[in-house]
Amino acid sequence: MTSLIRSFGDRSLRSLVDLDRGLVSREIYVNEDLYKMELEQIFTRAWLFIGHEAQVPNPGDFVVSRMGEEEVILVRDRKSQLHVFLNTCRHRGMKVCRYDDGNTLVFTCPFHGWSYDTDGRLVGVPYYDAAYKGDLDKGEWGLAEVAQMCNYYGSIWATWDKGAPGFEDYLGPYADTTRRAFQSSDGEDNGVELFNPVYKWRIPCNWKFPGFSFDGDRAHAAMTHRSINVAAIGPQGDAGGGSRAPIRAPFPYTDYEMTIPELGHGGHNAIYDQPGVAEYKDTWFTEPGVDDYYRETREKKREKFKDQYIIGETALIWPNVNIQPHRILIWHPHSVGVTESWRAYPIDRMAPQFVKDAQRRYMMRYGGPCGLTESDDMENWNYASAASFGTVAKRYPYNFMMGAGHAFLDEGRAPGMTLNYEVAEENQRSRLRRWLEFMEAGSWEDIYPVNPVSPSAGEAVKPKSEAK
Amino acid sequence: MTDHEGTPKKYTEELVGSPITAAPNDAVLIRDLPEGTQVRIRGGDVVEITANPRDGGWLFVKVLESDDFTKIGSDDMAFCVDVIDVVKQIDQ
Repeated sequence: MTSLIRSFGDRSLRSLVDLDRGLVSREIYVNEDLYKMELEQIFTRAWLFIGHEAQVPNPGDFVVSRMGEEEVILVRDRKSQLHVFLNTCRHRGMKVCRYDDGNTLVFTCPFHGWSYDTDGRLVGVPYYDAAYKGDLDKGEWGLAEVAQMCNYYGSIWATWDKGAPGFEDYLGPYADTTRRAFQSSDGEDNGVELFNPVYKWRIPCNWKFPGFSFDGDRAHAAMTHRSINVAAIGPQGDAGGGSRAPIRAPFPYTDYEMTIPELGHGGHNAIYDQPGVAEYKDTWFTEPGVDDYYRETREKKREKFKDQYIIGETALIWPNVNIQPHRILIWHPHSVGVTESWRAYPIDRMAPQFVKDAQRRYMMRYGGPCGLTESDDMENWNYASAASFGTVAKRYPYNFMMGAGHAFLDEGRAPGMTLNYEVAEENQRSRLRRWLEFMEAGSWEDIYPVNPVSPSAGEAVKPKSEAK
Repeated sequence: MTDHEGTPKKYTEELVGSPITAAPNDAVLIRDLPEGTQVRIRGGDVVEITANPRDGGWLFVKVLESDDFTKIGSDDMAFCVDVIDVVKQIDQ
């Protein structure tokens, strides 16, 4: 494989990310040139989350999404085929769609009037015969469409790179987790819809602050979210000391940081000591009737998965999407110091309205721009970002040493995963590793297929019994 | 489009069903012309609206009358400034 070892000023990228020592220069979070490289090297190559097919159920339905800094349109054409197009007219660049969502026959540019069918074809050009006199081939000037799109159990993903591996290969061992994220609570594939609208707001920090730390920074919770946990904002109210986890009482389990260092995905997940799905435990004490619905659907799920070991309920899918039960978190780069944060909330499509309403209320209390938990997080990311732009501040690297050298494999129970203690920085190091690989790569040929890497920098692969 | 639902309808409702050429500068306003309306386009062809994207720019049409017999019955698109007259109105 060829590898472009790119340089940043008089320094190589590898001098900024020292995984062996767990030291990372603040430059990669604050430098404008590196940010521009990211847009090209990462966001035109990686598979990115676009939306869900339930957002566009009918021909002509569309919703505007993003890939990196750029707007795209997810649309269902007249033949019910889904497409993802760049939201820009091929004539002079004007946005052909200036609405968040809707239904249309065509996307007509308001500048000069070029008009595109919902399948992307250029169908209307003013003065076509009189002025172009046959010189313009409409077939060459349709909307720019992504190189690959994947409908993965209802969720829509896309990449601009035709050389990217297929989406399921891109996910690797996290394919199953991603699939389950879009199952309804009874375990049926593609059983959800998204609350409308998707939450969108901007926060003053680099996209990697949330993007690399979410599902990779359990150490923050005890301090950052202490007040929220004490306040017991969950639907269980005061029961269980304000925390839902002990009440849910699943099978005996062990929590780990899990990651696929060669792919950059990772999450905080439990390995259960037995197959199947645990019996449902009531937690919606403040929302009458909700537990009845989830108890019923859980029984169906238990029957469906009674013989399977289920690993992984959450995952950060490289580079900027985190999927969790009932919420999808996306961090779009907006500028080097600004992130556009999006939240999509899946809910069982067949759930009664009062269950949907209860879930919506809980999600609004918990996350999003005004959710109590996420306000805690934003305060940290935003001030950390602000305190990292300074000339002096940039002399001091961030510390990503936690758990380095202490990861291990457990191929029997978590094939393909690298594990570490439940509080570690293994996942963040994995993302930084993949960041470096994407930033250096000349093409997908340089970064896929992947070569298995040792669990931690410099660490030999060992079975669990021999792990540190 | 999503903004359409919230758009005040009074102005366009007054236009539909009343003489279209009564618009301020005699322009034909196509945005709210219903399917089935027949209009004359620049060059003299008479076409019937088969679908209206309601973007004010374009109409999907079927050619009813034309000096070029090969065009009759074909589907086409008509741009707003090329629509010069309403031949037959349809009640909404």
